[in-house]
Amino acid sequence: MPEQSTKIINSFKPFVAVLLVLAIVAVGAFFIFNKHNNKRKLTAIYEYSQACSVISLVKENHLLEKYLPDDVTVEWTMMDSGSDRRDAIATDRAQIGVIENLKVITSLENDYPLRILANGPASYRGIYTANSDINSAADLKDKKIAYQGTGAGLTLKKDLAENYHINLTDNQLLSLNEQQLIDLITQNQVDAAVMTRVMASKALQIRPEIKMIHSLTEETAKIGATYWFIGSVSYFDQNPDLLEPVMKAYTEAIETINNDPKAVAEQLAPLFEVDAEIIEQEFLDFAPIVEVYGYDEIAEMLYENGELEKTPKKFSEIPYYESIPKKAEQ
Amino acid sequence: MKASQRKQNNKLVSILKHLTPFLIIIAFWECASRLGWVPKFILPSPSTIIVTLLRELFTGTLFFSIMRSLLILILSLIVDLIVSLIIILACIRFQSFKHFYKTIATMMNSIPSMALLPLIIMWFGIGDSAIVALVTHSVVWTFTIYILDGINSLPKIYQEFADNINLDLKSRIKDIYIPALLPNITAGLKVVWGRAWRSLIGAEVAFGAIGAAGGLGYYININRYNGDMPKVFAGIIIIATIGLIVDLAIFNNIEKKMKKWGTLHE
Repeated sequence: MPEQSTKIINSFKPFVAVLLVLAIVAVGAFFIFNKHNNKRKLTAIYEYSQACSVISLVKENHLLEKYLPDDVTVEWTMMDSGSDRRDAIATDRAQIGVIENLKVITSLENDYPLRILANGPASYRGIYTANSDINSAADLKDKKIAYQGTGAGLTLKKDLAENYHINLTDNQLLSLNEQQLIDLITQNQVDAAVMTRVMASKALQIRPEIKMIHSLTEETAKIGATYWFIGSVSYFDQNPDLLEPVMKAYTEAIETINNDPKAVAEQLAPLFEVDAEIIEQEFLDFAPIVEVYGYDEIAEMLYENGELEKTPKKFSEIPYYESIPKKAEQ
Repeated sequence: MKASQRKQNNKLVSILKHLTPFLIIIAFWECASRLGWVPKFILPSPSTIIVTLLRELFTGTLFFSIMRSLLILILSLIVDLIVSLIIILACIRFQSFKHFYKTIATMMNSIPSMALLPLIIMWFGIGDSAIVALVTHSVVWTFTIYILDGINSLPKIYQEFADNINLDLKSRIKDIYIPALLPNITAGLKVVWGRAWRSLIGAEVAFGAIGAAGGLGYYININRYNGDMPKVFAGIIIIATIGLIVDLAIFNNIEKKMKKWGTLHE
């Protein structure tokens, strides 16, 4: 037996030696590179969509560069997948971004290192279809419906169940990102889709026969803002001085939107590839605010719908709660 | 008694030899996780994964995801074998088609399934038929080339004998080609199973990313979406385990029988 163990150990030796050499080379290269690079970097995630309208404005008006110290370089990276954004921020490959609030809650429940920095935009949502046989939400029984974001899915299920006694099954529902959703509804791969005004406007450019059959605004308003502005825990723990400038940049973007939504809409319209009036209407319907609210209600809704397996933490129990701007009652 | 005991001991030693590196890695991984060397949301501990796997298997959706994947796989393989059989028969019957087909098959074989995904979605939608189409693409070209190459390498004397006694096509296939090609067929099926399984899971992950429900790939994707890494790992372990079980339980046994019949040479 000892002879056999020695043979096994000896057979691993060259492999271990190679690994050690590679590790030394990698560490050496890392230190040499870092020695020449004294600047701090902040990577911000954006997307030209209603969900990221505030952060898009931060980017376009160079607000981070305005408030951050000179030793910080800002890098912008586009990501359209909420899961990718969440993972990038959790692993500190990016430091700030906007993520759907239901995804933030499920991630915090799974101990992802994320911190909520501020509130994000909400959007009007409606059910749209290109199918001439579907004329109202009552016709959606047994139909395939696409949506973006868990919130839209839950709103859809609740609304159809309460108002039309239609209980949608998982097989009927498809969760997509914005571009996929637009592609599938314009190609008739789905019967209907839950879309924001901005998405619907893009889809209508491709298929003018797309029509809205039901508004989900009331249900959406109950959930409130659907996205939150999120930061990397490790980055802001190591660079606490950068939190205030980041918040100043974000707050100024919100104030700019609320002071002159028309001008901001005209600025963002070519980037979002939709008419300015549509973006402006979104800002008027759901004026962005900095203060976070609705955490406990949304967490409870997730738990009741089986999206969370155990009783969720209270808003006051999440990490960095004290630093989150909150509405007075919280 | 002594000989059988020795045989048993040798078997135990062999199993331990194979298991020891895995056990060392798992032990190190468990320590690393518990000591916080690696964040749990990136790499959960083996104990958490195992508990999650067992819980999901018996009370969660993992069992249904497994069944769904296996069902789609069986359906895909049935379709693929029928399509392959038709192509092979056509190649045997028409030489000019065989040359044309081999060129096409070689080209198509080099295209990864995921590269065809946008076309597949356009032509088949985003349901099970699209997944079957993707798996078919991964399987048919490879399997048919395998068999056609096997037919080409049959000793000439078999063909001459069949010509001499005026054997019809059906009898040639039944009495000559199939017995002579058994090793090729078995090897081809083994390769094809691996490709089909990987393509299926890949397609389910891709379709899961675009919201279509079902299967192990979707299970992994939806749990990644929810940030539940233990479940992601549980799904991956099940995928690997099914691959191992099929290989050991089915293909190894077939190969043993083939050796027994003398159709496989050492």
